[in-house]
Amino acid sequence: MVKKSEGIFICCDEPIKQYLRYLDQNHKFIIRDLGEGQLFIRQDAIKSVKEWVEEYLDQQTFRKPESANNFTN
Amino acid sequence: MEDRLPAKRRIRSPPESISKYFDFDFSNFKLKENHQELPLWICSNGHIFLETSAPSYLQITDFLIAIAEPISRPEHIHEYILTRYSLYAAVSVKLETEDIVSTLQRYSKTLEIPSSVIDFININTAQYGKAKLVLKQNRYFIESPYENVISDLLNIESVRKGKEAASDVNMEIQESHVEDVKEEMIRIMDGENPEDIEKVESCCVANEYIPQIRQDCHKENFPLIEEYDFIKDDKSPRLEIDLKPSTHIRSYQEKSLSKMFSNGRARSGVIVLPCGSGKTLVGITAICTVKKRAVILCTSGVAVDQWKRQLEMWSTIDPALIACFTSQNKDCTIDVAKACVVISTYSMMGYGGKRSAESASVYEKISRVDWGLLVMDEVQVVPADMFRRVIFDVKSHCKLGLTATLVREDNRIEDLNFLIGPKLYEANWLDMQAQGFIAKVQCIEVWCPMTAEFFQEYLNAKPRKKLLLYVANPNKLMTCQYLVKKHEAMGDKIIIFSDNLYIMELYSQHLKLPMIKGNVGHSERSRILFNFENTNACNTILISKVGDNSIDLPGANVIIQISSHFGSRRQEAQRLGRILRPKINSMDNDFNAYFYSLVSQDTQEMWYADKRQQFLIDQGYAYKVVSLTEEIQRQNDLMFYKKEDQKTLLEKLLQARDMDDDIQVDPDDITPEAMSKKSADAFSSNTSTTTSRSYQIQAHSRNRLFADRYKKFKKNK
Repeated sequence: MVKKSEGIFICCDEPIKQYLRYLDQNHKFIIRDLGEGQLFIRQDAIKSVKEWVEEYLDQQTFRKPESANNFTN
Repeated sequence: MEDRLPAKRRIRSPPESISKYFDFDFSNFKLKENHQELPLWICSNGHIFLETSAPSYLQITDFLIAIAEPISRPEHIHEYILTRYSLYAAVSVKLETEDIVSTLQRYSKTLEIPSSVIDFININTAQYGKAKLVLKQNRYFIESPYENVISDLLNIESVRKGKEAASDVNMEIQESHVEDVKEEMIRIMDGENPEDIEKVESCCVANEYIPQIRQDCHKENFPLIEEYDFIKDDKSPRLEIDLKPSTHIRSYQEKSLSKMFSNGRARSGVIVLPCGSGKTLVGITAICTVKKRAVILCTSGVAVDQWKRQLEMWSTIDPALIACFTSQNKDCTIDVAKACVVISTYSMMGYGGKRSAESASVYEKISRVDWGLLVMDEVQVVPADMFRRVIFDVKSHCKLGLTATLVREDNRIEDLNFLIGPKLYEANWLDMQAQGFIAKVQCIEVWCPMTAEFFQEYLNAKPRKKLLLYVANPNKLMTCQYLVKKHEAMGDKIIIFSDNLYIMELYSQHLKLPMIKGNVGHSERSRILFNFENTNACNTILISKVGDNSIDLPGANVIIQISSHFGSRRQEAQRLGRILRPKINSMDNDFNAYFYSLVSQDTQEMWYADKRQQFLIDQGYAYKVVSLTEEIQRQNDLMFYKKEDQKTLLEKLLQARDMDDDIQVDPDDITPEAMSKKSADAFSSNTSTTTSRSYQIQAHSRNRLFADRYKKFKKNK
């Protein structure tokens, strides 16, 4: 019998793929690793995966903090 | 009374439709008819924006420098801010309140300047000139010819304490003392009728309280004038020194000194000029103007030698009158009866522990005398706890701070305002580049992706190892090698900077390049530098942190930075300074110097790299972002091209013990995690680096960089 499972196919560059595998250690969402820059993951995980990646990338980006003398605040 | 205008006053709140995205709305300002030709936007929170394309750009820039502090000066729009200190500086050069307001009014695009700004200017220019701080025979006195000023000042706690601590001297204030003071006050309040000045009140305060007193008086809007009337000072012996006729002073050096000596008296403060543009000469010229005994403080023994040589080169001083007090030379003889120049280091003078006998006696002599001028090189180090005390120990009439990078990663840079004085002059780097005084540099950030294996280890590694991994990234090593090849082929001289000694050794081994680091001896260093500058045998060298300041390398025109000290903006600027000397064969508009910063993508290094660049971006340097991965893939003879080599390197790194001085986290530094929690105060530094949302975001072409607002905007669309 053929077993089928629905999932989402992700195409990305190597570093992000490594990052997803790092996250997978704790969260277990990868169904199959399909080679260079390609992954197959569970459908329900896609939203959280997007958030985690965005958060990680934000962390690498330096933003000047708000100063008390500014237009804002 | 506050330092700056509070942000929220009198800004109309934006209409509902856009208030979610923006906090301010100035669309209700009425514009003048000819507003397109006028250069200034004056905002109610004290920020002033200047369009460089306006016809009156040059004149208005001079004016703005005199009354406000620059925050950010990229190519098209400059941002300045009015602060209490900048207005004091303006009044001290005799700019009147009405003049300031009317000039601003004339050049403003809007019909009216916000009233909050006018009030701020009025308040901060009103009280200037009523009280004076003078140094006599090693003690400080606060004096004023106006009634009640001294008693008002005594309401300030630190003044009171200072007076009590100096009660012995206060008992003996003589009438004759009052006479000289009266005369001096007459000269300051020009035109005032002498008979009107009945009595000059004076009160002695203890030396340790002086910075606190200055700070508090500023807060209460009672700034103490500290101008040294060196021409009329006949109590200090005269120092025979002049500039040699062959010495040539450039326009910006003259301008900065004119701010210091504008009304015939010497004002204390800080002068900021880019690296390699002749700060030493500015210090020497100041000494030649004051012609009294002087102390020069530098950061290291090497710098002391450099100052001595430059003094002998540019001025007519008798070399016997120069005394160098360093750890190698603890028993230098100083004849304090005669005028002389003492050159020393911050660590020698600021040392709080027990000293050797010779060192103690020299120190004693220095602290007992009234010096005419105290010149401080790299003055941004002074606010550090260790070095602050030099200000107390060396009593001088006038203090001049010199630096290229007025930044610190803690928020103590503002302390310089009351430790030394206001910022007298700050050069515009882009202008100096355009005039050919400093080299035209192209700053390039090269993004190097991590290899899969390295990145995997990086994600799982401890913080200390992380650093080693992103610095030793094989793609980064290959990029460096590629750049070295490319530039050597063009005949350039290259310096590779690396804070991390382990990596430096790796490179040195593989690429056969000489290195200069802490434990390389003096003669070896000289040999390497000589070969680098004068022969073609050596075109690239590796330098560690020791190269950040003292070493002088006019011949280099390419810098490759492979590892650095976290987010230090100062270090970034100082390293850039290594190639800022103007090049002999500089073509008119082409770049003739290159500053490469290699960054490993998707790692913490990106964050640190961005932070480091802030200072230079504010000076107007635009960082170009490139990725050289394609070029590298094509070349298969580079160091770690093969996967097996990469794997071996990785194993070696993982085994390397956590080591070296260089991986220590600086307590002054801020990590990305701490940054998100820390409040704005961590960054409120002296305004050449003040944070501002409105800085031009240099275009990083990858769309991973979003401004918060844009993201919010996109989500809600």
